Amino acid sequence: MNPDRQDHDWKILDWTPPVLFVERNGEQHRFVLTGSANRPRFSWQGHYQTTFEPAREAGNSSVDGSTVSPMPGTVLEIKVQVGDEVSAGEILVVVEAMKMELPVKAPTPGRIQEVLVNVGDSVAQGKSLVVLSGKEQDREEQDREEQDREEQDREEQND
Amino acid sequence: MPKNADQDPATHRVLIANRGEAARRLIRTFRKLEVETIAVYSDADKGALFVEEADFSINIGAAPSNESYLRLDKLIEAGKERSATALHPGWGFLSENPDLATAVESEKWIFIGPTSEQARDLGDKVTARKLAEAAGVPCTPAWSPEKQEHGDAEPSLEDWTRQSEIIGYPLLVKAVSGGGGKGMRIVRDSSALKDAIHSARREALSSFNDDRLFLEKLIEPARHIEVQVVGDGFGDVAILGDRECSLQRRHQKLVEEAPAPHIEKDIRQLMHSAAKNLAISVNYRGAGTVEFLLDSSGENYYFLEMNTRLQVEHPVTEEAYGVDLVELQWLVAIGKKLPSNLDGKSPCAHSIEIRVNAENPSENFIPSTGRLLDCCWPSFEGIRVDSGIRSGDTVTPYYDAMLAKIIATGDSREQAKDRLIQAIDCTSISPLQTSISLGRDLLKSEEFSSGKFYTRMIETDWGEWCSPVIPESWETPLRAMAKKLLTTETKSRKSRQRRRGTCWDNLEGVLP
Repeated sequence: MNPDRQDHDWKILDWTPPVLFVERNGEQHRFVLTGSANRPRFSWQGHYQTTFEPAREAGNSSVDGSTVSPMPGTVLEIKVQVGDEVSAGEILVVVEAMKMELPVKAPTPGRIQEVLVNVGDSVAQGKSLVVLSGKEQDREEQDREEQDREEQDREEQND
Repeated sequence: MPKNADQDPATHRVLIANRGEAARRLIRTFRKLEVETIAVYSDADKGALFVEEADFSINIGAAPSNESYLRLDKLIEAGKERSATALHPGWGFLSENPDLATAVESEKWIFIGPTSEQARDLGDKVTARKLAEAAGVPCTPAWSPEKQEHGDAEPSLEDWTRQSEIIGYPLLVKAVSGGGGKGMRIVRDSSALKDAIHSARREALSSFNDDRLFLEKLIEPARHIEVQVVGDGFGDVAILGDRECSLQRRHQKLVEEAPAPHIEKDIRQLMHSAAKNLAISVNYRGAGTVEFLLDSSGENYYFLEMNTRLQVEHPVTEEAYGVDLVELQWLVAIGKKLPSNLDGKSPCAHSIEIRVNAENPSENFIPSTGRLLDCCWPSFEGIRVDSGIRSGDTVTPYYDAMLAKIIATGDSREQAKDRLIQAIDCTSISPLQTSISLGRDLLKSEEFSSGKFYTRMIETDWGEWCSPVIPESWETPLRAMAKKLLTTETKSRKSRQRRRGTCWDNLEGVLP
């Protein structure tokens, strides 16, 4: 198929708002078209499209491998305390929404540096729940923090 | 029968102890029957459709369900205030809580469901298994602690572990009062048992206010097949076919159909008889569902549980068999006998349903909440939409993720399937992500066509599934078309008043 051709080959078969029925290179597609002329919204095959880019990866909000809340909800249980050593995959926090429990697991082995929420807290999607630091990274960060503190002290003295 | 079980609908007023889609579905039939309805609603549901549609409405508390829809005292208080004579629990919430039936009975109202005793016995999965065994229904190996009343000494982990070894892994830790997959965990080896018991117990307590658990052998791969029964409480039980409900995620059904395809005739007959025997043995009153697991050979079926309520997926039975199950529930609740031609009715069509859950199937089904810009439903032959939402509503994290169901019916399974796929293509619930995009691909799959699916198929084989994405190269032509079409559309309705609750409510603030 010639990719240059495809943009010119769209034919509207039917427009019964909000359903747009088109043909493109012999293939038929339905879109649900809403919004405004300048800001249209498309749903295709039951999926609402926020962008036309390749699928975004789950990234930070993925259920495994993160320490942020994967969904808006309530903190049901905190399984760790500051200073705990955890292995990868160990459950750190349990979040509940829509009567569903979702465990937030440690993405890597490490030590719990900070717990940012309490049981019963309402959390937004992507809210950091626990700060987890890898063992080596941990030491580096502590060093850096100490340096920062020393610098601050020095600045304060200069003032 | 309660003493005010007057058979004249005009003397009745039904409290709808539910919300959203379920409440609307119930109100529709009561309106047809000319029975008045009372909606109860939480602070989060003030502007909801079902509240508008009921004859009366009353606020029963804050948004969290344990401060509103799960508060038995508030439901009864609301019913008294608006002079209810009957109560329909719908599904979910307190629908299977025997205390609700008991409370309604003691108010001398009609409970549109089973007797409190039936709800108690069948809702308790351990008792239900005993009743099923007594009625000659095949059951899987299981174990439950002898005494498990609140406050009793908890069986030790050693007890649970020993019994698990006897049953054999994989097995299920299940809540005695469970349902909808809540309070249930699959355990594949002893190392996972402790955590499974702990989290199942907590979930069971928060969902059912009952933390008793039991163990059951897991049959896998298996299909989930269920049989619809309606009993009149006088010993008469009608079987209204079966449903296939194997396509599930997190033990919750996603796609259901009636009648169940690809089942040997004699096995189907045996399941129907088993369901009927169980219902007759308890002199069942109301609509109920006997759930079975059918193993991969297609020859062995096992009792799973009996749900003493209307099921979420009841519309596929209604469409395939040409009945109104809520009306039948009402008939038997007010003491009428079942129509004589009901039992063993043949299906007149094939019907398939997809649940519209506010969750992202590409991201492990995490809930998708927020304000709805669009709520556009398909409308063509063979399509029924049971929905509780409209454009502008806010989907909150307080309640179940199910917003609606799209039900497609046709002369054949193939036609129903094609209609449902087209219906999904004509649906928009932006900007939320829902389960229907995954449902579309499931419907198109080879497994669906051949009937070779099983309860854990989505989790096992579809874990890598990604939402369909419009190719980047389509953007320019699509935007151009949108510009042209939406500009014309705006102009043509410039003089018209904006209608409420349609896709054309431009919620982004760009007004014509």
